[in-house]
Amino acid sequence: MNFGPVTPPMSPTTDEIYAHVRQLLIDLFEVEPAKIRLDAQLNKDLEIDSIDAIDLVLKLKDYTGRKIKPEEFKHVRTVGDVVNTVQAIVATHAAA
Amino acid sequence: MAARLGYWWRAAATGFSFAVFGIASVLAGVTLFPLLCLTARDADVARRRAQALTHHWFGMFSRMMAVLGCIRYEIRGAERLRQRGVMIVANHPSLIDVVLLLGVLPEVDCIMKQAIFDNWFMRRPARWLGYIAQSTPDQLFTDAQAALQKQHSLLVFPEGTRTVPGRPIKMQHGAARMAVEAGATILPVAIQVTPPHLFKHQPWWRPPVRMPHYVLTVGEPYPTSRFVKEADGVPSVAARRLSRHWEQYFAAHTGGIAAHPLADMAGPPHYSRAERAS
Repeated sequence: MNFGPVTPPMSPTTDEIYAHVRQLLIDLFEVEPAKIRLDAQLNKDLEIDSIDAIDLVLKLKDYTGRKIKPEEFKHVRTVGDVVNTVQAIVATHAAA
Repeated sequence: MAARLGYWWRAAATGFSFAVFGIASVLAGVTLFPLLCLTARDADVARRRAQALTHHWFGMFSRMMAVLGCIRYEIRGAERLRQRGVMIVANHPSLIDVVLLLGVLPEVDCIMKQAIFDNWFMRRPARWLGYIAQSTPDQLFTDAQAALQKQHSLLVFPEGTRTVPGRPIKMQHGAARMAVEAGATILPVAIQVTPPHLFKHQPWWRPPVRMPHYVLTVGEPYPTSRFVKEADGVPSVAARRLSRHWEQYFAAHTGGIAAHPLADMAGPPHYSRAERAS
């Protein structure tokens, strides 16, 4: 979705974030590991609904050690979007 | 001929019933309701009076629809509805299932969307009734738990919206999460209506060809603690498993997916030439 015209090679941090998000999806929601892909839709493919999203955001807050506003996840649709959003949050945090 | 007459009769009688319902509800909302509730000495008395009024009015309305021949309905296991402090969980196939259910439930707190509490006309009756607003999840869970602790029962439709006939029953995880967080005892009520009636997108003036028959089956109560224990105390996992359990339970107790969702809603009955000639 928001990958841009060319998907850049994933840095190790992106991989780590993805691995973490993946593990969260498995632990919190018993999502089948095989279903988790970057382009998997949270709602349609993984059955993550609004109440689940709150749990996910709470856990990501712990992970990034930063306050996350719900607006930041407003346009998140896929697992890839989650990873990108977390990465953006971590990046702004590091820069600050 | 008889079937055709029945069809138009049901359409007209349903329209009449809905008109009566609307007019009488608005009238009661500005007369009986304030009269009973404003004179109550505290919120709890007002709540009991408001809920009793709603119960009797909805029961009368249900019987009226049955007497007029719009529907037939029956309740199985109604004696189990007398339990207090349980979370009553029902599927939601029809516009009027909540009316039928409140007609047989003498006292229950409903959960309604926040918009109703923001509406100038609905706000006060909703408060008097002691109904719970679907505000933020945290607030909702706190309110639900407080209601259950006071031995009030709660009525919840976890689907969040009416079932679309022919599609599987799909439960939102929020209701199950609320049950898990509140440590509620669940009392399931399976609502089956054949043929499908007043489902999503079906206007009241296109009733099914046959008279709709509602069967409300009250199941056995069970605690949510079992789901929490099996999920090692992870509430999100427990809630998802409980939701899935409900999806299976309600599918099994409502005849599963309606086999021919469109068969009974095509409009006025059609007849072969032979039938028409006779």
